[in-house]
Amino acid sequence: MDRGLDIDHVARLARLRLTDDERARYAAQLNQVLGHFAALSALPAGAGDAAPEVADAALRGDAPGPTLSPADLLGNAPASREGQVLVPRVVDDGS
Amino acid sequence: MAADLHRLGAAELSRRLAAGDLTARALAAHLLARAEAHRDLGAFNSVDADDVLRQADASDARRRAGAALGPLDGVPVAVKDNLAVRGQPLTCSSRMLAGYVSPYDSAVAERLRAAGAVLHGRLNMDEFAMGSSTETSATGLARNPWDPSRTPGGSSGGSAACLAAGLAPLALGTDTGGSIRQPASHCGLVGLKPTYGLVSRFGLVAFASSLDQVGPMARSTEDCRLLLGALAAPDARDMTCLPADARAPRALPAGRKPRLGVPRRLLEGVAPAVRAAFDAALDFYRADGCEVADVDLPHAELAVPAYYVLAPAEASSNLARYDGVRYGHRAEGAAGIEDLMARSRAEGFGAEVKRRILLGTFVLSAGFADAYYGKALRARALIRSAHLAALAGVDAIATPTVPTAAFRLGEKSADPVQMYLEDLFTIPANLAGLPALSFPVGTDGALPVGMHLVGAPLAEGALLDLAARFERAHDLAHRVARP
Repeated sequence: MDRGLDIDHVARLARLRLTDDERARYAAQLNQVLGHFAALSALPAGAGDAAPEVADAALRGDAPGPTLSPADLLGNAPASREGQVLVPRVVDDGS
Repeated sequence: MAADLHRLGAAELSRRLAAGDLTARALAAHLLARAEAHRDLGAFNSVDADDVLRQADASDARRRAGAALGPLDGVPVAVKDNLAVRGQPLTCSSRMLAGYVSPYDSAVAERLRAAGAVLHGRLNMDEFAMGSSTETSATGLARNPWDPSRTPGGSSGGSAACLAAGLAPLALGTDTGGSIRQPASHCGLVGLKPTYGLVSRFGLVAFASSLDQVGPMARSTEDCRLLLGALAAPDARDMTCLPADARAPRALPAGRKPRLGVPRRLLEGVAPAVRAAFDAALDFYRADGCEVADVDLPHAELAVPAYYVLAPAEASSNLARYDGVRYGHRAEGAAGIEDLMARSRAEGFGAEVKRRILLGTFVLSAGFADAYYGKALRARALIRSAHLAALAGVDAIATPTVPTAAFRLGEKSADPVQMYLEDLFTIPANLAGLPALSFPVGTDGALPVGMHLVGAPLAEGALLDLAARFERAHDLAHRVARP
C-alpha cells in the first residue's frame, strides 16, 4: 500500500546509506507500521489541544562555568590533530 | 553466609554493612564472581572489577572512619549502558559507540557516588533503548534467568537479568515506553518509571526526550524505594527536572479505602494465565480493604500509534548527533563529509535503530508532519487528559504490565508491530508523564507475571505502598532465579 513513503528521499534526509535489500525491507516494514497509525488519521479535527512538549521548562542562567577539557573531549574523536577534530575535506578548493 | 549474599536485598545488605557483619569488599567480590559465572545471561556489557573493588574499599574505609554516607554506602548498583559513568565505557549496546569512554558522570551516577553506592558494571540493553527484548543489542542478546530460552524483556533487559540472577541487589533502568516496567514484569522484579521530571536525565543518552525517564529496579518495594530516594533530586542541567518546590509527594489519602481503577475494556487480548494472576491480585486487594472499580480510558487505542510516531520522531532528531565526526563510529575511506556521515551511520546503527530513524524522519518530513506528528501530539494530549480524569477518582490505574509472559527469543524479532504491542499497557504513562510501577503478582508456569499501577503525578510513594501490601502477603519478593 502506498502511504506516500519515498524511502530514498527519507534515507537522504536521515543521512543513512541503505543497501538495495534494506531499501526494500524498510519500505515494506514502514508501510506496514504506518498502516497501524490509521487510528490517528481518524482523530477528528479540533480533538486534543497540541500541548507544549515541555510545560514550564526552566532555563538556567547563561553563565560561564567549568567545562570538560579539550583532551577529554577529543579522547572520543575518531581522528584528531593539534587539538582539533580531523574530518575529510569539506570545501573543494578546485585544486 | 557468603554463599547467600546475592539473595539479600539492598536494605538488608545495608543493615549488615552498618552492623559490621559484612564488608563492602566481600559483597563486591561475591557479586563479581557471580557476574563472571553467569555470563551466559548476557546481563553486562562490561564490568571493571578493579574499579568496583576500589569503590568498595573506599566505602569500607569511610565506615571504619565513622564517615559512612548513608544507607547505600557500600551497596552495589549496576548501571544501564546508556548512563554516563566517568572513565567507563558507554555503548548503548551499539556499534556506533563501541570504544566510547564517558568523560563525565551522569546526574544519577553523581547522586549514587555521593550516597556511597558502588557503581557496578554497565548493563546490556536494546540498542539505544529501542526494543522490548534486548535482542537489538549489538553486544549480544540477554537471557531471562527464569528461562534462558526467553527474553528478559527490554530495553532494560540487562538490568532485569542482572537482578533476577542475583548479580546485583539494585539496578538503574531507563524507560521511554515501558523499558523499566516490561522487563521488571518478565523477570519478577519491582520497576518504577518516575513522574516525568522527578529524576535528572543529565548524562543519559537521549532517545525521546519528552518521554525518557531514569528509574530504579530492584527485587522488593523496599529496595526500589531506597534507590528512588537516592536518585530523585532537582538538577538545573536537565531543564525538565522539577525544581525543589514542585516535588511534594502525593500520598495515599487518609480516612478512606485506597481505590484501584481497572480499564476492563483494554484487557481483552491478555493471555489467560496473565489475566488469572491479575484477577487474583485484584481479589487480594478487595480482601485487603481496597476498593476496585472500573474506569474508562477513552482514546486508549491511540496510545501505541501516537508513541510510535512521537518516539521515533524525537529519536531521529536526537540521533542526528551521530555523524562520525566528533565521537562514535567513523566509516573508513569516505569521499567527502556527506558520504562520511551517511556511511558512518549506516555502519554504526543496527536495523531497529535505522528503522526508527527512518520512521521518525518520515513523520516529520514536509507534507506529512501535520498528518502524523501533529495528530500524535493531539492524541497524546487526549490520553493525558483521560488519565488525569480517571485518576481524579482512583489512586491508581491497574492493568497487567504486559499482555503475555516473556516470549521466546526470536519469536517476535521479524515482526516490528507484534514487538511494539508488548508496550500496550506501559506506553500511556510515558505519554502522560505519570509515575508507573510494575511488581510481581504471580507466575505463568516458571515465568513471572507483573501488575502495573499508574498514579497521579508524584504518587511514586503511594504506588509503592499499594504494591507493598501485596508483597507482604505473598512470597514473590527477593526471588532469585539462579543458585
